[in-house]
Formats: sequence, structure tokens, C-alpha cells
Amino acid sequence: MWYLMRSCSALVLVAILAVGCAGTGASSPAPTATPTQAAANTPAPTAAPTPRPTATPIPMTDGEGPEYVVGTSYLTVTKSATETVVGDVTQYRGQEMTDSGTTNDPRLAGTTTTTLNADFYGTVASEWGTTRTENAEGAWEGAWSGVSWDGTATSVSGWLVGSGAYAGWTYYFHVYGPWQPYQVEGIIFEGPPPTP
Amino acid sequence: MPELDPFEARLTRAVRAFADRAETRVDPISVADQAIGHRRFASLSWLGHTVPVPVSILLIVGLLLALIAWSAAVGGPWGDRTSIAPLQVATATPSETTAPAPTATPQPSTDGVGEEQVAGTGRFSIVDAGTSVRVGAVTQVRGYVASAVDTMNDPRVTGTGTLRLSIDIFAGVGSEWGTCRLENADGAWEGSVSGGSWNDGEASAVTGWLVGSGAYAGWTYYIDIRSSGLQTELSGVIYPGSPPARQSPEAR
Repeated sequence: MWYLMRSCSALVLVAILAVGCAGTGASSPAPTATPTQAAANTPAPTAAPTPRPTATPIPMTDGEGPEYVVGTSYLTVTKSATETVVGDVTQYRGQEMTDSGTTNDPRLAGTTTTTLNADFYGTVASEWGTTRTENAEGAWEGAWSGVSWDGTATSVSGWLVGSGAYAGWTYYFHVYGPWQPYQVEGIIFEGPPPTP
Repeated sequence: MPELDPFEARLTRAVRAFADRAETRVDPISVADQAIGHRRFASLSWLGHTVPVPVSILLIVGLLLALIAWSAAVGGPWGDRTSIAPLQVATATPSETTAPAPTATPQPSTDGVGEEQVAGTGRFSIVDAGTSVRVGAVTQVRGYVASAVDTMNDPRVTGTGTLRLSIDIFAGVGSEWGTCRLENADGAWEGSVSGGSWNDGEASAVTGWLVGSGAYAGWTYYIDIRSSGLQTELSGVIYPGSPPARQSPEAR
């Protein structure tokens, strides 16, 4: 029945469109995103803007119990690293950053600081460091490691242990993406990080 | 007509006289118009030109094309969808929200030499589902073993492997840790991995540091395994060095 009703609706719609076209012969309205002629005549910029991931609304969790969380990470350097060349490797040590990204779980809100060390092998690097996120209820702190390449792309993960109201809980995160803001996904669960 | 009586003779004359008064001229154009009038094609004007196609046929063709296009875009009956367009999935609960999966893009092959960022796909098959023990609110899975066939854009990390995991499941999410070994004819990569899973294990993110042997001795392969449903995407970095001295818990 639904299929029949939808077919009839389509026929009516098509008939209306056909009558409209026969009566006017007009072209369809131009898409709003179509560049104007003036814009088309403007010389193209030499450096095209980097496409960014489209932000989509993410429902907030209830902030209780085990959760799968998602969000973004946007890092700002607050202290530059020291740089030492050892053979073919460039060693970066002691960089400090803040993270202004957000997630969909209120337990992970607050101030996040991250330290970063890296060994660069040409265009790729191994990275490791620590992260601490704290808010009025408690904090998450632990180590992370991963890699980066081509200057901006990254994939790192870490296990943060809760304290304060989050004591006894663990936050595992995975941060990845070709450029900032990076994608964040992870889980919060009641228990310690895994041990071999 | 000697055999006709007087009445019949008068009748014959009367009929002939009536027939002689009848209109016998025929206008062929008028007759043709009447004959084909109801089948005449209406003309359609398009950009100043007359289209010699019946309007009714055009309308029927238009209706059919529109119906086909609409079905392809929207779908057939609700219970028998045939559309190839992606469906908009409603999120049941916030905890089941799925992060947007990265779009698979063709990855050019590397030259197989030197440090590289690598990408590809993995095909995993369960060899041993392990044992499950309920301890309080946690379901502990131990001895999970999966075989893997990794197809990457770098021959050094293309091969077959084995993934051994322990999993603690906490109401829909799980922590995972274990070992991974990948090998091919020239050497092998082996090390520890860890990560998380969600949506009752339907999706996961596991990373790890694998150390090379054979032709890959002295090299490290950081592996990133992201799974969603039946799709598993692999990515990582190969470089001539050791894993970081300070690592996340998988190295403990």
C-alpha cells in the first residue's frame, strides 16, 4: 500500500512538473553554491584553502557508566621542543601543548595539556608523551604513543587513568586524521588499563 | 416491368425520386478529418521548434523516467529497499553513536624502500573465539585468535598474520590487548597491540608497535587497525628504528 501511495504521489508530482515545464519552458533555479560570474573572473588564489572535515552534531552521552566517546582534538603549542640531530634522526623533546578540542562526554571536559616527544625519520616520526585532562570533578592522566607523517597527519593512542570522581575508571583514546582538528574516538570504562 | 402491379410501380418511382434528391457529393478532406480527428497528435513546441511526437507519449515517457529516478534515489517499498543511496541511520542512544569512518581512497603503492606511511585493508577470520568468563560486571574473553590477510600498498607489510587478543567487555564497550604477528616471504613483524571496541564489539580501534625481523630487522611498523562491521582498514608507518622508549600500556 505504501508503495502504491508513493507511486501515485510520484505520478501527480511528475504531472505537475510536466505541466509546469510545458507552460514555461524555464530552466531550473541555479544552485545557491554556483559561483557568480564575477567570482569566476577573479584570479584563483595561489594556495587553495585546505578542505576541512565537515563538523556534524554529536549527541552528548549521559556522562555515566561505560561509554563510547567521539570528538575532536586541536592542539596549540605552548612550549617548543628542543631539536637534536643524531645520525639520520631528528629528535624533538619536551614540546608542550594545550588541546582545545571537545568530546561528547562531560567527564572529559576541562583543560587538557599534552607533552610530546618525537623522532623524525625523514617524513615520518614516532611520537610519545603524556596527557592530562582535568575538570572540577577529577582528572585523567596517562601516556600515549603513535606516529605522524607528512607534517600534519597523525595516529596516536593512549590510556588515561582517572582520579577524583573518576578514580577507578580508565579512558582509552585514539586520535587520528590528516590534519587538525583531528578525530577522537575512545571508550570510558570502570577498571584499570589492560596489562599483558 | 409487366409483372409489377400499379402499387409496386408507384413505390419504385417514389424511392428513385427520393434517392435522386439525396446529396451524393463527397468532401474527402472533411471525411478524413472526421475519421482521424480523435487520433490527431497534439504538437509540442520546444525552443521554437515543433516536436513531431505525441504529447501523450512524451508524458508517459516522462512519468516513467521520473518514477525510475525517484525509485533509485528514494528506494522501493520500505521492506524491500533497492536503492544504492546510503541510508541515513538514526542513532538509537548517544552511547551507540558511531564516529564517521574515514573515506576509503585509493592509496598509491610505495616503492617498498625506506620509511613510509602505509595503508590498506585486512581480512580477519576467527580461528579461536576463546573462553568467556563473567566476573562481576565484566565479561572476560581470553584466548581469542584471529588470522589475518593484510593487503597493503607496501610489499613489506603485505602478508598473513595472527592476532591474539584478550578482551574485557563493559556493557557495550571493551578494552582489548594482545599480540600481532605479520609475515611474508622476506621477514616478519611482531609486537604488542591494544585498543578499544564499542557497539557490542562491532567496531574497534587497535594500535600497536611491531618490530621487524628477517629482511625487516632494525625496522619498526606502527600498525593502526580500525574495524567497523565487516570492513577493516589498516594504516601505519614503517621506519628504520626502534619503538618509542616510553610507550602506552601495551608495552608494559
